[in-house]
Amino acid sequence: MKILLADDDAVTRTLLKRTLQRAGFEVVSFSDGQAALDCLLTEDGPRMAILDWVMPGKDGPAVCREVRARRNSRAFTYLILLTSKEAVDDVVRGFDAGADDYLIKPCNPEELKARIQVGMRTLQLQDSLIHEAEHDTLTGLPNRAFFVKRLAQCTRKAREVEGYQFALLFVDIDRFKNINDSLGHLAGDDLMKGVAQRLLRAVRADAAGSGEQGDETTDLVARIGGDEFVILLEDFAGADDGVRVAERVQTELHPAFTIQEHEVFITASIGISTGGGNTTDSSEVIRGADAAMYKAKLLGKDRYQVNDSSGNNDAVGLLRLENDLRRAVDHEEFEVFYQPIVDLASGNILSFEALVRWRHMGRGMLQPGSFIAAAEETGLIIPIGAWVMRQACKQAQMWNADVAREHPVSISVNVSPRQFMEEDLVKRIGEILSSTGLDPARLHLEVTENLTMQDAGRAVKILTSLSDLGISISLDDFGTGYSSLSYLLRLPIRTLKIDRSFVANIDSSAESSAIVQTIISLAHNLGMKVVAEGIESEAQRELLKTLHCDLGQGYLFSKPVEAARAAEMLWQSPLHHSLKAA
Amino acid sequence: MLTQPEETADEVGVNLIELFARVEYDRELLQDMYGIFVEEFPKLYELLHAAVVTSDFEQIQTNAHTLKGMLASLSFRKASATAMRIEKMAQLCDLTGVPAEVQLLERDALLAGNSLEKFCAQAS
Repeated sequence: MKILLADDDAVTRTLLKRTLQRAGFEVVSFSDGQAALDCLLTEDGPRMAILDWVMPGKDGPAVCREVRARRNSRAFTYLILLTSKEAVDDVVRGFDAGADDYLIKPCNPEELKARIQVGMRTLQLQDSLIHEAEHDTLTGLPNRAFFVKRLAQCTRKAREVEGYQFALLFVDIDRFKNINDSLGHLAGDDLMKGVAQRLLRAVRADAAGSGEQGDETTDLVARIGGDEFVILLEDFAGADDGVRVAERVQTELHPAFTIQEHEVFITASIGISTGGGNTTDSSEVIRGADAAMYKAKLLGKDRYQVNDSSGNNDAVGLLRLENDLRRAVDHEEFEVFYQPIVDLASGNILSFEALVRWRHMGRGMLQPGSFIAAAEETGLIIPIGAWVMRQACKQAQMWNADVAREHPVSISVNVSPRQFMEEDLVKRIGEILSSTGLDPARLHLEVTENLTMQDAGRAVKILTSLSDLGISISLDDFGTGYSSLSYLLRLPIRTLKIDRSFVANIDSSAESSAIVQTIISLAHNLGMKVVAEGIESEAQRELLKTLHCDLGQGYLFSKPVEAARAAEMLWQSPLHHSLKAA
Repeated sequence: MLTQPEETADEVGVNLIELFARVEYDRELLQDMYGIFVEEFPKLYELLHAAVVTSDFEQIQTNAHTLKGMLASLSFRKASATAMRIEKMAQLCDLTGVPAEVQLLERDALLAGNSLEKFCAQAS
């Protein structure tokens, strides 16, 4: 530790300096008060000072007063005044001036060292209080207060130093509330600790050689809310740097977290904004990153967005979308379209996948890609999903009472992550089946790999309950997630749907073909059916048939169509055609 | 290593036992402090003397205070006590008796210095 010693008497100065050095301290000494003050006010000046009362330039109490007056600009400094036995009354004045302790001259070396120890303990306590005030106790990362302070420094520097730029990444964990609700808050806390470590890894890996967190010169990772983190990148070359870190963050977060013996998979939505010479206010940068993060959420999560000059317009647009969605739910502006799922061997339509469309008053018919993420984010997916399921079940029941009465068709309905987390999901579906009269065996619920893996234990429980009702479970987009085979075996899956990305290249890529073949063999060995999604050509259909794929879906057979058109297709299907002829 | 001083405070008012303990029995430090005293005392004494001649109470007080601290650190008790008396008189703006005290200060400090020099020389 470095101690400043100021005394105009060279004998006392030498005595104290040598005593302190012998005790292991680094000592800087001065013979006048002004020079001592200048040293104490430097950024990395000593944290402890021994000041003689009477000195040329500036006396000890005056030095104390000036150090205290600028206390907010740097870390706390412990100040000891040197006084004479005969001036004990001065001690009170010394404390009033801001001194923390005093020593009577001539100093006893043991007492001097003991007083220094008291000072060191006080500094440690001060430092720990400041650390606690500026750090998140759960993760140990800097907190919002620290971040705001550092961001203000960056903004100031950007105005003062030409060419200096910084980037802010706003990282929000997707569906954290669901994890918290299902596994409990302690698990949520553990997850946040894990996330903090991975974010640090992502930043450090990107900026090799960066120092410890909290260091004034390094990039900063801070936790500013429950599941909200920020990364502040200093002195960077351009927005690409922010993007590179965002990509590293996503890569780091993708592998499973083991939380209380559960494997938990998470994703994050990241908003990136930058600050430079034109930045007048830190809040601009925060708003920009926040708006970009929100956009990333609405575009489907697990992605990053860079805020640009039109960021605010984006935010306004997103707000309008949210309002429109709420109105659409109230006015039931949605429609269910149906895409046939065909038996590849016979060509018969065995089922339909129900797909929602939004008949927007101003923008016409909207595909799910333009609103489902926003519905999910706002929670409106719950009423929309329930409405779609009821409509689809009702429609399937109508077909099965009519055109498909001899060979009933099934209906596949997608379950969103938000729906899946609903406490009464099983009860709600049971009610829909009961009120529409659809045979539970005719309802196929499609869930994604990633959805089930967010909380594997809960997924097994819910899917088993649904399966017990007689409902079939299909695993959608298979091959794009991170699930393990041992995990899949625990789920009551009846059908695997091979993701369209594999099917698209099946006739041109040996690798895709091999993956599809492997999935089909795997599914058949586990007693599951396989549906290939996105079939668009005869070549693909033929190849899939030779690979013994059971079912197919795609534009080759039909795009998603309205209910009336789907009924016509059923009439034309060979299986049902015989019924019509009869 | 210096031999342990036998007396607590000699007739010239220097407490070598106390001083030796204060420097934690560091002979080199003691010699350094003595060297500084030899160099600095005459300068400070001259400043004090000049201030007395011009009746500059503030300078008398300041220089007496510095001398008091220096002499106390060296355990020159008599001389330090004299410096303190001069400082107090200056505080009260009373020069009566100050010239005599200044002369006494010089004599006591030099005697104590000689005593310390002898002590340092014993072991060197």
